Amino acid sequence: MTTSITPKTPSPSPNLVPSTIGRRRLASKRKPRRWLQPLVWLLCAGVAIDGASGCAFSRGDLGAPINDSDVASIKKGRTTEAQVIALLGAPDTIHEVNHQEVFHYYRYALKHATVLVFSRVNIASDDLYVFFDREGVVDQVVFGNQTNKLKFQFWPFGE
Amino acid sequence: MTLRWQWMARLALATCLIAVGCAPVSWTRVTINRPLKPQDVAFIAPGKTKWNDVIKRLGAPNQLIMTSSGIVANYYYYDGRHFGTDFGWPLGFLGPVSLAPHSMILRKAGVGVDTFEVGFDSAGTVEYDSFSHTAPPSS
Repeated sequence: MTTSITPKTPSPSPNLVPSTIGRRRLASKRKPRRWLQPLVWLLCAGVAIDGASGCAFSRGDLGAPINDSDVASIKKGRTTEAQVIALLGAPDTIHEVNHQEVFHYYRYALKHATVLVFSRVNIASDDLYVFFDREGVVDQVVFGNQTNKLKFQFWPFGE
Repeated sequence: MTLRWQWMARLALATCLIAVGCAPVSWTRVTINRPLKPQDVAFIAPGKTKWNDVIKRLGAPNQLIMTSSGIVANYYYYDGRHFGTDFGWPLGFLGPVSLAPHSMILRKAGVGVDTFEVGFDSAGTVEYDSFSHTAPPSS
């Protein structure tokens, strides 16, 4: 009596080297997890969206802007107090120096940025001083504009 | 899933948590005006430098104070720093513990004021100039 035994699994081809078999086994293990890679990409997209939501930029102003053209139209020895008030409005403060009046106009500007855990708030001021002589005519105009150099920054370290 | 992808996933998750505002740390800085450095004001010589020279080089002051002998011009620079961290933040991920108050916040803040002051006599000549004596922000 003869019995024939047929193998349940095909035997590996004698042409295959052991290292190739190992790679095939690894590939068969990786295959079911390939769906995770798109998930990671989806997560990265979420990071990008969340990154945008973790950002905030804002700006604010205190006082009306002081235009360069308005300042330029104030002429020393010609413009009077009344003309300055008509041009720029009532001053924010009035000083008296050596019996001379000084009008002070100011404006503050703020720029704020937050990116993730880092925040920075930069504030700068524009200051305009108009000095009058005893007759109420402009003697000197001093204008400092710092708000035009104000930047949005979020990095809180360094300068 | 390779090791590289696992790390990328962890990094993405951590960044997501931070980005949605769950960050246990924060750094904030507030500055007002620009700082003046000693070399910016080195040209000022008391008894010689005039009002117009100072204004031309440094711009308009932020404040003028009248004195009996003349005028004082102040240039302000403020630098504030804040750091905060919440050591109880991880407890928010532990089921029952997260329901109880679990904030353990440590904060440190400091404000440095660096005012540059120039005093003029009634003729508009510099009498003195000096930086204010304050400590820089430590945070």
